[in-house]
Amino acid sequence: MDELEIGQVEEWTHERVSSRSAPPAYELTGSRSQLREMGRVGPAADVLRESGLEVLEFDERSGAASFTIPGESSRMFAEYGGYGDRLLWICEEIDAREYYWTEPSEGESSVSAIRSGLREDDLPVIGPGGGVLLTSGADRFYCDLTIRSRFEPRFPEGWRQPLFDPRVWALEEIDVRVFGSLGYFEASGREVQELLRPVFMFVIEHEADLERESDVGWRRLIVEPATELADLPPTAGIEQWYEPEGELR
Amino acid sequence: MYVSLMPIAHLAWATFFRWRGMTWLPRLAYAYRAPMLFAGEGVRRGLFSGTVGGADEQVLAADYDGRGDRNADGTDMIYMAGHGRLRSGEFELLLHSDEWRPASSGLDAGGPKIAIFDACDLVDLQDPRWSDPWRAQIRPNLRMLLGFNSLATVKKGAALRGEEFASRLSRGEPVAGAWIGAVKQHDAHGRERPVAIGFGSSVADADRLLENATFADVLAMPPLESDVVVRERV
Repeated sequence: MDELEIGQVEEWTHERVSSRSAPPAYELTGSRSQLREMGRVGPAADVLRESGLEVLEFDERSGAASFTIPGESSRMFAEYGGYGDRLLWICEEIDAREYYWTEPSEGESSVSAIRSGLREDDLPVIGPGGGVLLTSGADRFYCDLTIRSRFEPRFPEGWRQPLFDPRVWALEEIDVRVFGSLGYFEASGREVQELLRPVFMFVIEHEADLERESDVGWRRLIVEPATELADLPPTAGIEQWYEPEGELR
Repeated sequence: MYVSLMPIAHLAWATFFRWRGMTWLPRLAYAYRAPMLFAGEGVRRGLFSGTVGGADEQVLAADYDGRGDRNADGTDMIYMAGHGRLRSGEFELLLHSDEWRPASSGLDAGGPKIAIFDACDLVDLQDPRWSDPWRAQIRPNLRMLLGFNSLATVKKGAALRGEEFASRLSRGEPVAGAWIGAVKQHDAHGRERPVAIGFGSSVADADRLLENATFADVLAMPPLESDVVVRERV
């Protein structure tokens, strides 16, 4: 995410959209028949089982799958070259994207992750889904794969100007940090998602000032559709994440 | 008389605030979701039974810190959501019109084995003395604290971490990893820093707890007697 000045959001947004045409959204599918029609092996669970991995749970609605891989938790998963490469291949089988291992954030040692981006649209996949999360256990990695297969593209009418104004959302606080990103939003494996669409995501954070007796820290997350899609509401594809301003005030 | 043999999870939350008379604190409209989704999934999977301590103005610090009731007593775990902050290095859970400092009171001999605070700033691991408030007195029953070493996002979708956590516990994942994985799996922006804190009789004991202990293991652990060691996992 890019860190922004509070007054910079409009300019930052303009820079993101002015140099390119509005990217398409994609219908998503988990159905076996549609996947076979697309020449795919099948849903994530089938691909994982065919790779010899133990599938713990598979969510038919979202296509998300949980599985385990044996390994020592004292070593980061990416060091297991064989499994690492195999996982990237599995992801590619489920949906053709660019996949990459991410570096653990500072202060994190229990998790590793694969994230993704759409090559053809030159945008990252953001949000809780769109990759694989690996949590280390004593003798295995618990893996959660949330990658949905794309089906038909839906071309937009154009960019949608975000309604987000951090000066409103920051309430009375002056001391806030604002972060922004533009990408395709993929929901978590616990959500049904039928559309992968480009969104603007903004995070506003206020750290409590220890000198102020009654101050409290908070973080707000704003997800807004980045494009206008005919016959589809702004909530399509981001139902659990889009909240019109004012709902939480 | 009905006696439950199931573990008991106690839930409470605050979605809006009149703390110290202030009405401008940001609302946490979806703060109810993580504890309730946790309870719904845990009960559905036969992991525990749930009790609700209340919502918003019903939840008083006095009902946890011993000035009135001791609502955490007799439970195996508590899952509470509201605003959180550190004051002089000690965690405060801000309730509708009150604040509770669980390191000082309320998680004592009769209290839960696992306490989850779905709120900002349970600890600041950059502070070399972060564990002092939790070390200051022995809480024989408490073996694990779960929360955030950062601000926490309270949002409809992010709250699915509660359901995810119960689901991971039910399939036998170690508790600490299950919490960290559940939070990260619903982290939309990559800035959540979940933390698990283990209380043991030695460094090895606390580390084993954080690495290996499943829900059933933690609930079966004997009370700590003295010389409590505090360790963290992120």
